[in-house]
Amino acid sequence: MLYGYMGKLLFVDLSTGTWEVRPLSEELARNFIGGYGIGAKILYDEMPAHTDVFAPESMLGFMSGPMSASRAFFGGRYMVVSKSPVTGMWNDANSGGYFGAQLRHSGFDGVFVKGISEKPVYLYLNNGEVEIRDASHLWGKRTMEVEAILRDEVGKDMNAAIIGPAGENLSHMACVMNDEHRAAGRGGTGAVMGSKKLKAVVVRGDQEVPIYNKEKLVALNRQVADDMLHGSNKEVRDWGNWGTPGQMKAMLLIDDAGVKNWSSTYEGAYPLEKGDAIYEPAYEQGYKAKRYICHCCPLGCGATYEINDPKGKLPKKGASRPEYESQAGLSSNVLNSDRDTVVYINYLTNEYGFDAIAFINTLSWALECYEKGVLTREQLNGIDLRWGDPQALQAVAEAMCNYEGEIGRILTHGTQYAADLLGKGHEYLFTIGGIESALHDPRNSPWYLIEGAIEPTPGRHMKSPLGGSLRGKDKETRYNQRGLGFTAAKLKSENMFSECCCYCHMYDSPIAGLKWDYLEAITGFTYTPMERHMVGMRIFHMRNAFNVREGWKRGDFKFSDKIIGKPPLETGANAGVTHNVDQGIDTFYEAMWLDMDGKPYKETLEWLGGMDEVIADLYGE
Amino acid sequence: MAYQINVQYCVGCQACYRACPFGAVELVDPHYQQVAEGAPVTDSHSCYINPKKCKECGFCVIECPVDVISLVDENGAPKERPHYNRIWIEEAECIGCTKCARNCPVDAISGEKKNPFHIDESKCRRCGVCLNDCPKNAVHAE
Repeated sequence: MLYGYMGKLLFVDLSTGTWEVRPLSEELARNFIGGYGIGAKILYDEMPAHTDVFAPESMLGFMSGPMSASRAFFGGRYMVVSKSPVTGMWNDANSGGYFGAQLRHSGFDGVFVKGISEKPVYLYLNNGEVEIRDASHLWGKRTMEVEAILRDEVGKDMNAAIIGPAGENLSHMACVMNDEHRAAGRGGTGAVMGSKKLKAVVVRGDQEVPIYNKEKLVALNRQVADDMLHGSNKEVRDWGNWGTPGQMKAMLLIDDAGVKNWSSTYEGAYPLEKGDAIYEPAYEQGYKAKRYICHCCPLGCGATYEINDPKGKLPKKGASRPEYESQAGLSSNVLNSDRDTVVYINYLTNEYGFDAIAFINTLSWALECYEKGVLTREQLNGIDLRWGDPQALQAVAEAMCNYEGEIGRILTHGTQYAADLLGKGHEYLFTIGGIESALHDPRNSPWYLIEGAIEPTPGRHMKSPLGGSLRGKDKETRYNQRGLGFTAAKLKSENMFSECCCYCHMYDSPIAGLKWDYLEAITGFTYTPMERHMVGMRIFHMRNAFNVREGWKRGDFKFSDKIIGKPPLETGANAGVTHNVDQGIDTFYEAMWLDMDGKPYKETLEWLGGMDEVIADLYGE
Repeated sequence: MAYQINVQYCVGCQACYRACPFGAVELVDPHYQQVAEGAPVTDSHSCYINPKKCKECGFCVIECPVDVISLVDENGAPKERPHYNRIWIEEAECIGCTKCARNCPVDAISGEKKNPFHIDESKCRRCGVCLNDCPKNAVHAE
């Protein structure tokens, strides 16, 4: 018996309106764990090479992991996998909330969709039953309204992954939203869903995942709970009270947060007192805040807001605590001091289904372009977009959401698209492979750049564990590229494993040493230390091979000039530095068992196992 | 009688809060000044089952990740959680008062007022709420 999984994968073809349920094999589960591990294996096998991202053959998957619905702490995430409309390569994005757990309660470990429906539809998975339902009445509507309608339609106990107008309009910044304000954000996954005319995936049910050793699972949870309530992890739990934006001031102080579209630092352009209303504890004063907790999370770092703002634009209900990325991106990076504007624009991105990180970087890029004359006032719908002007920021954000005028034409696909369209403004981009950076400055550590460039999904801060851990260290340490390739590879492997289990990264330190114990308790699978490393490596290699088969090679995910410090910053901890990361990439590739072009060695693939199709494609056998 | 949470391990994850069909679970959260009358004092967020609202369906027990919810009697003494293989309504004894149907957390009970009601076994989760509710003891279990 297969423990820790529902044992079923659903494959839907929206062109024909048909579906097929296939068993999930133990071999696939053991080798690729779940999430984008299984997702990458399936898309590699099922999706022809060089498929256009919006073609009917293009596939989109929603995957849970072994932690989902098991009641393991921090196991509340799910993954969306597809090609990215930004990079044209592999993409995965993940989100918290309750969708992942409910997907499993509906009877499936994952659902993969191909084809294009003639009319808007939503998928309804209910206790093993499958329906493709008309969604004409939902098309064009914002995410929270759609969620409310779906709850009325199928029952309050449902969860849904939904696209907003951004996804319907195939924006390269479109994400998949669930539970009102949780987002599988990065890489433009929502556009792939929109191209299929798939408005939502609705899941509901009460089926249970079989657990291999329930007593051990409970004991592990108790160990974690005890440590967080009474032991060494108490501070982590307290920090959950403020959520990720609680670190805003600290990130400015170590010059990690972006300032003035990444062209300055707090010392240069955003005196600390400018953000007094943005930092905790002031950042939600006057709002009635309530803790938001994802499935089986012992922290609850989210919050929902009830806001009384009769003269402003903030909704009474529906706004939520912006994550740090939005907090910094809409304050220091645009030189804004108005807290309500941060919350309002963050709320808009959720409602319209935009990736907040790409969206806020687009705003700051537009600000700099306007200042430098790259964008004219006419191209901004007549808006005088000046640094730190809350009304102008709100107006441009609204126009982006509503695809109004020139703003709609130029800005709604993100910064890379906009610069390419205009044929200028590339010097103000802050991207790797066309993906906008999260609000952790990669110039702080070249490992952010190295990990960002080697990743099949470039530019992701949550896939840069070494870069993240070097943040705030002295210059010699964080700028060092020597001798760390194998450390980066080990961390990368663990990162792959952890995400595929569907663990939450943000606060996973309390369970860092227990993750494999959790997996064993849930699935009964045991691995030797080497096999553990191989699992993570195999998952990385499958994602990487997806890109290599497409023709990708080292250097194709290009750094924008600014992100490597060209020209260098004039102030702060990274002043005067332009990074060259070739040495680090060389050592990382070696440690990842790749040649210097990023292609896996044949011996690597043979040793990893489970990669026969990749060997055949890349080595013709 | 009611279910009760041992707060030693309760991290306030809200699993029981979301599972409770009767709104009997209340949230305690000092950070957000959220209080619940009768709840034990804790220095960080937790959950509390209001004994006046608890109908002992036990749905919270299934969801709790740390397994700290147990049944207690009026005096707070532990009581074994009942386990039923089958629950049914004896037609001859049922007066059709509707109470069982109104309280069933999974809508498994149906019928016409003043006529015998019946339980849909495919929906029934054998929680026993109807058993405790029935004024005529027409609900039986084994």
